[in-house]
Amino acid sequence: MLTSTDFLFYVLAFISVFFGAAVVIARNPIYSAMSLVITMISVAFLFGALDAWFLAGVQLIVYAGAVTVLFVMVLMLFDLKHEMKTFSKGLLGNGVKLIASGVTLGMLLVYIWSTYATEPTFKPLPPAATSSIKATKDLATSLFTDYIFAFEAIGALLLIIAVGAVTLSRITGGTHHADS
Amino acid sequence: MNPTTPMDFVTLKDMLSIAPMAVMFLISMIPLLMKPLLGNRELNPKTVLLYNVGAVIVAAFMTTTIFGPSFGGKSTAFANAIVIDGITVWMSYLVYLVTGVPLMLAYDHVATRGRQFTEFAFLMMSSAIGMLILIMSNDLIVTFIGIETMSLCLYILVAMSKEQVLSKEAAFKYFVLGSFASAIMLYGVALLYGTVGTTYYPDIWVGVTKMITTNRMFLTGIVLVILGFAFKVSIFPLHAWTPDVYQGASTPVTAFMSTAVKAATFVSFLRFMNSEGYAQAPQLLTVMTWLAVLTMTIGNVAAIMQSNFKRVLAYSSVSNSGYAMVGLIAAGFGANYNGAATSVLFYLFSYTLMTLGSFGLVALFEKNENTSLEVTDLRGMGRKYPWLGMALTVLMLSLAGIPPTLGFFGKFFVFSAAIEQDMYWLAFWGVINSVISVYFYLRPIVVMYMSEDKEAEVLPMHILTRGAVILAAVAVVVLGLLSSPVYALVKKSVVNLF
Repeated sequence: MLTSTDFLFYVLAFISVFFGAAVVIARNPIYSAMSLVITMISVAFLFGALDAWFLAGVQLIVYAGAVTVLFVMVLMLFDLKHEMKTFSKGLLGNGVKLIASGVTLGMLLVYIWSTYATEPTFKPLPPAATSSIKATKDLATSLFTDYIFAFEAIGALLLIIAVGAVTLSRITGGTHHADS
Repeated sequence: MNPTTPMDFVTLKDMLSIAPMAVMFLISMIPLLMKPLLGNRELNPKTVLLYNVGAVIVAAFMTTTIFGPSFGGKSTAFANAIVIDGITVWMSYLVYLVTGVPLMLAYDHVATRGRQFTEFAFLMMSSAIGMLILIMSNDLIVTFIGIETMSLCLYILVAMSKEQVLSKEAAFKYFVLGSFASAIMLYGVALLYGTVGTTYYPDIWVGVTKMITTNRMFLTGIVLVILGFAFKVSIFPLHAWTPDVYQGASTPVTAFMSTAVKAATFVSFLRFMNSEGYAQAPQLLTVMTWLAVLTMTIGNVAAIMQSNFKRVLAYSSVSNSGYAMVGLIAAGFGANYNGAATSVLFYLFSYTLMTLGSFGLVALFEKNENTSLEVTDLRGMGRKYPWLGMALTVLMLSLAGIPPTLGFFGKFFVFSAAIEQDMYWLAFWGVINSVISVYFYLRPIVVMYMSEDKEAEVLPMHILTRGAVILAAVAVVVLGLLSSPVYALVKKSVVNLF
């Protein structure tokens, strides 16, 4: 029986997959970036449907808000016509890509479907938090206790990458070196 | 009662167990901070080198004092996120070695020394931090973070060569393919989390015993994680990036990538395979056996056809991944995990020494950043530089697996581990491939001593690089002769794994 939650899930899942595909299929990078925004928003709603309101908010603010806007701004700095010319067009190449991704997708779907078919009862979800504030607090507690090492390591990683990005902007040469 | 605040939770023991890593990271930041504070002028490369090599030595010293007394024991820290056991300690030393030596090579090398050496050294040290996280991780999430820290630094290090086209292409290739492999691995982690409920290795091992034959989603997760590891160590279907990236990167970076990355990733791979449950999945064994066989064969056959010395060594490193994979399969699917894991660690140790020395020699030959060293360029070198010629001879013989060098014992232990588990097919192909590889490992020696038509090139007087090459060769011979005590030492590090 299709409940309203199920219905919401299917709609959001369809939107996120459809626009996720559009990110890679669209020729114009701006369309890709916009599709990415829609994917992010629908994933944020999916988090919301799971009562993970904090994650939903972070997803909206950080990814849909900040990151994608940055993407679009950087895209404006490029010569888009030049970039679009570098797409490979051949029918054979595209066919091979389609077949490869189709086979992988099919394999994963069959595996997941057969798992559900043979093992209908899955590990029960942890009890849903009573309020969104409690859920956020639980998340914070596990981040700063169970996952503190991973959390701090990511902090170090961000610092390293900031240094790396600055370094990278100042090196000489590049793959487009010849045509500039 | 479970602790609920960070203050209750992070104890002194936790901090001590990551102290070497943290100190190394902090010291490596000093030159980076000095640069902007002193008016954004590039520091004297010697200062940078001293700080970073000093950091490595301090870290090695701290590892000895903190973990030395309990060597062979096992403890976990940070709520089971990391594990300190013999393997961690042993491999930490290896990471210190393969960070310190490439830093010295980079100091000498023309493509890396220059206006960004401070950042270069910092990124190399950070990559080493990623490796240290990787080898002590007891959790798939921490493993993933370790791999990412290591790789993201490497993408930038590859691009940082002064050479203007090939290195950028290599960096971009490595970045795109590496991100793809990371995504595959992360998807595998998600599937494992979905079926097991946690990401800790001990829980995954229990999950393997219970679910590998019944739950296909779990099996898919395992396969995807294995693929992620396989990319980083360039196992057959995912090896295509190796020669291009190794050739495009500046030689010190190649030396670092081909040794440290492989060793650290293989250790994590070994931990992942530490479950008796894998023996229940013979299909997985068949697939991995064929991957190992194809990796060895393709690496060796392709190396025969190369004329560029760096590409020869790159393909040689692909085939060496295959040999290490033989031991890994014996560990994962056989009954004697400890024995086979010891052989893999010993193999990684021997491979690291030999490869580091060989790339050091390549670095000596590069006069400017655009040099590409052909095997034929080694002509006449044996007579003009007897010590270096001797060192290269020893290193090549060791890579080919001629006794009594370290390389022979490395291969010997790995293949015996496979035979002990009745995996004759693997051992058979391993031996066949060792024979094939003799051809291209002996060619530089032949060129070096036996062709006389050209005067040898004049090599720069890079004391550190020359010292590293010769020391590597000496170590290969001496440790080869002392292989049984060394093996016993490695064995002691593995013995209390469970």
